[in-house]
Amino acid sequence: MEKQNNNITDKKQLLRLKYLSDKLDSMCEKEIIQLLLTYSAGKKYEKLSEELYERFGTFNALADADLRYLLNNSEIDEKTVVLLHLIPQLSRLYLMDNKKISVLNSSLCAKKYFENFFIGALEEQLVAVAVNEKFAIIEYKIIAKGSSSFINTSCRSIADFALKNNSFGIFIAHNHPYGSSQPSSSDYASTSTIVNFLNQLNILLIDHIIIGKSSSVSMRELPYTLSLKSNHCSGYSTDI
Amino acid sequence: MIIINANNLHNGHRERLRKRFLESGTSNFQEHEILELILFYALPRVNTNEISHRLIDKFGCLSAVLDADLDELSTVDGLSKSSAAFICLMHDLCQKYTSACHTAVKFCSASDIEKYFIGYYDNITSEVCLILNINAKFELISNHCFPINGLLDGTISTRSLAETALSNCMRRIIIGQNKINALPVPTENDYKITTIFSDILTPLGIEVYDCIIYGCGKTFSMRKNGAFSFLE
Repeated sequence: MEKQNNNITDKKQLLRLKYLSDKLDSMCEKEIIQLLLTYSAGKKYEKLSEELYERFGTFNALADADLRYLLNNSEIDEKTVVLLHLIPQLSRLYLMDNKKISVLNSSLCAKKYFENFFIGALEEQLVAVAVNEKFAIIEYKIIAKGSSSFINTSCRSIADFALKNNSFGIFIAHNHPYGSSQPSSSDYASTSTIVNFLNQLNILLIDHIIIGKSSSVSMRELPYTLSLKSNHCSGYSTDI
Repeated sequence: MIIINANNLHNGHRERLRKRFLESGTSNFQEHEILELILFYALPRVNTNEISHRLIDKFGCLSAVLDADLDELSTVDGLSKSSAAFICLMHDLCQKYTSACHTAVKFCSASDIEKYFIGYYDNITSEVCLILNINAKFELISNHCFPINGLLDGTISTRSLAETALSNCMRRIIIGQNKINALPVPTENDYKITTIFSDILTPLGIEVYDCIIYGCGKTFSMRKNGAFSFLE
């Protein structure tokens, strides 16, 4: 038994040494998963990482795994689930802080800001960001979570947030965690509703950004006539 | 008299913090609490609260702590080289994770697809099947890797393949297979794997666009070479 324990410890040490000397680039996906699990799964790290590798194939896919799936798999303890789930969240915080964007004066900046914001988000979220006349961010708020038709019910929350922060203008953004960034017909309809509603309060909806799995769209950049574009927005540049 | 064991106190604190994280993510966490959560894994039996504060005091913020190198981190009181290495690992894993986010890969030609597979398989030392999930505009949405042996011997069930396809909203895929130290000449197993995917995905409305075989730095496209006719 002691010999077996020593063997496990040796393998752990070898993996950790390999990481320290050659970094992650030298390691295959399976080894990366193993390495991480040496910190959380105790003696069963090898068996568990084997199973997770077979199920998810890559480290990124594993980090994106549905929390419910992980928690319902009796082999994985809470400690490991937290560690896996921590990576996307930490990545988001790291990018938001490290590549800090504080002024949203172009659609490019806005897309980048929201791309970072939604990193690791596995459910749909609607976010509003209040800005001043110079497009500097005053505050942000997650308005709704989890439903694809949430925008229809969010006018009141967006208006409340904009008024409380005495904002000149508002950006809204939502994500399609597993899909394309192209707006759906309900995205067009709800954007128009929000624009018209905020106009009555003298608040400008500057842009509506949609973040897909691997691309993003600024609705102000779209080549269509939209009520969003009828609001002139001097100082905000787009890619068109 | 109630005797509070210091160990139980730490465990209770750790459990509470983890529960809070699982319930609401990091949204209500302060930076030192997130560091505490990280350090639980590197320092299983130590009060990590003080070390977290020391790290924030020294480096200024969470992202700066993650950016710090091993030697700098090791100078913080209470942090050994091996626990500092775990912070470096978290940084590298975040980089790896974010590098796949919004790097918008678009395949404009067949050679773009082949180049992608060459780049991917270049450093791979075992036989793996890489499925590219692409949209109608040939933009890469996600990729999924399966060990070739597992597909051939049925360890990876067709049900789990269908689950992966449906949960990732696949509409069109490209299959990649590699050979170790062999030229990319299609073999019976390559056709078998293509058939496994085609048989399970086509009825689900998912198009198998191509199958690329990689070997010795070269690729073979089944679609380009007319080898897809076997599926018809």
